[in-house]
Amino acid sequence: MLYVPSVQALIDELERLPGIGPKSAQRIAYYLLIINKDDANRLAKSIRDVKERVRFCVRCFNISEDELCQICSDPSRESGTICVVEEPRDVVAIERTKLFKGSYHVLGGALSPLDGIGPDQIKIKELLERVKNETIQEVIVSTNPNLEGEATSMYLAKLLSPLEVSVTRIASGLPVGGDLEYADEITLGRAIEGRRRID
Amino acid sequence: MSAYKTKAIVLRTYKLGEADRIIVLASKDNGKIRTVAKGIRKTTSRISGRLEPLSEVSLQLWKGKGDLQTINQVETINSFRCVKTDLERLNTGLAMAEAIDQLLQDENPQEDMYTMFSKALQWLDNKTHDPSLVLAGFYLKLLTLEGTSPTATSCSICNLGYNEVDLTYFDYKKGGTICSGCYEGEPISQNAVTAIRAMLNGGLGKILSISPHPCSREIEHFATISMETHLDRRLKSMRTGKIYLSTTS
Repeated sequence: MLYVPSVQALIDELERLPGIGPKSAQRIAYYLLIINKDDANRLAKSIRDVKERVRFCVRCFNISEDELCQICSDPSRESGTICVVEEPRDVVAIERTKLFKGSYHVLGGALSPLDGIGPDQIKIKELLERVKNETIQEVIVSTNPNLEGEATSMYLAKLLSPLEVSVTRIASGLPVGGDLEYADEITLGRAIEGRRRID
Repeated sequence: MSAYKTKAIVLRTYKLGEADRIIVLASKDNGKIRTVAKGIRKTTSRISGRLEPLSEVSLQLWKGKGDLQTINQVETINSFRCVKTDLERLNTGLAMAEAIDQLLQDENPQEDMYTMFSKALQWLDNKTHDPSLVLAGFYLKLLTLEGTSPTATSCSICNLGYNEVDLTYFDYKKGGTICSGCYEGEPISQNAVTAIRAMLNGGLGKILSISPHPCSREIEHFATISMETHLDRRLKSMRTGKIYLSTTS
């Protein structure tokens, strides 16, 4: 063993993090060795706190510190619209737009037949229950615009069709600031299909 | 280290790092190849729409020292739009891709298999064709290409022909259809046996033109069982897909 056991243990733990290889793990471990004790303790406390306090919202499955997340417990949010996303990170992305005022539902993934991920592996049953039990007028399916996300949206549209709720899909098309000539034909095709009237 | 061009169909993709993807391709000239597409998950990527599973593309690849080749340029040949906008057809296409992923060997050219896959996706893209029959026909043709197609012309145990005995059972491990006298395997209808026999003997186009076919699900079931037995593994996309198709039908 090249390092003392405690340093080696730290390197081993850091290496288990996503995107961290052996060299990066060594570099971070050395950094942690030289910073002052308070900074290191603050990092350790943050990790401990997040593991002890954070859980999933019982209603929308977003990450939360309480039974209900900040969005679900906010009375100013519109209760009749649910935006369905794959991951909690997607909630943050949509919240940054400041355009959506309804509630969310985090599926925890998308349908992926090749990986054996079916409806039972993600929070679809819970979404169905919410639509049945709450007064919902619209479900906006905001899964990723890839094959798995599209399969999930098609499935949700079929599943929710017997209920009196409007199921919509977020638009996909050209990125703002991009050049039309560089767009691939599928994205451009969707942009043309999803065109809107200029008022 | 060199750059080369090929045609390929995307079999599946895996996330890699922050914004990259590993793209597994069934290529026309080089068998199965694993490639990396840099930055494809970013919304600014100009190639992400072209590299979705089941897209047929023309690519320029860079083969370096590592296992993964790098995608330099991509053009769409066929994106199979009808397949990707219908849940049942999409699931059928993915079940085809899963079988090809298992059968096609790394960097071992099998042009026949590529052509067959491309053709099957074109059939599936045609809304008049029953997806179950397309999948069954594809699996049976693929097994024929592998030299392990089931028989539907005689009893696999007593060898008596279909003109002499009723072929009423099916067991791929025994070789295919089995007569009522030998009595082994799973019961199969006469219509399904006739359709499988036609599919294996150049009559696939005729069978596909019968829409809806009275026993398309039964034929799909036996073709899938045969493929799974040949691969010695369950096809995940078939099992998962069946669950969600049954809950929405």
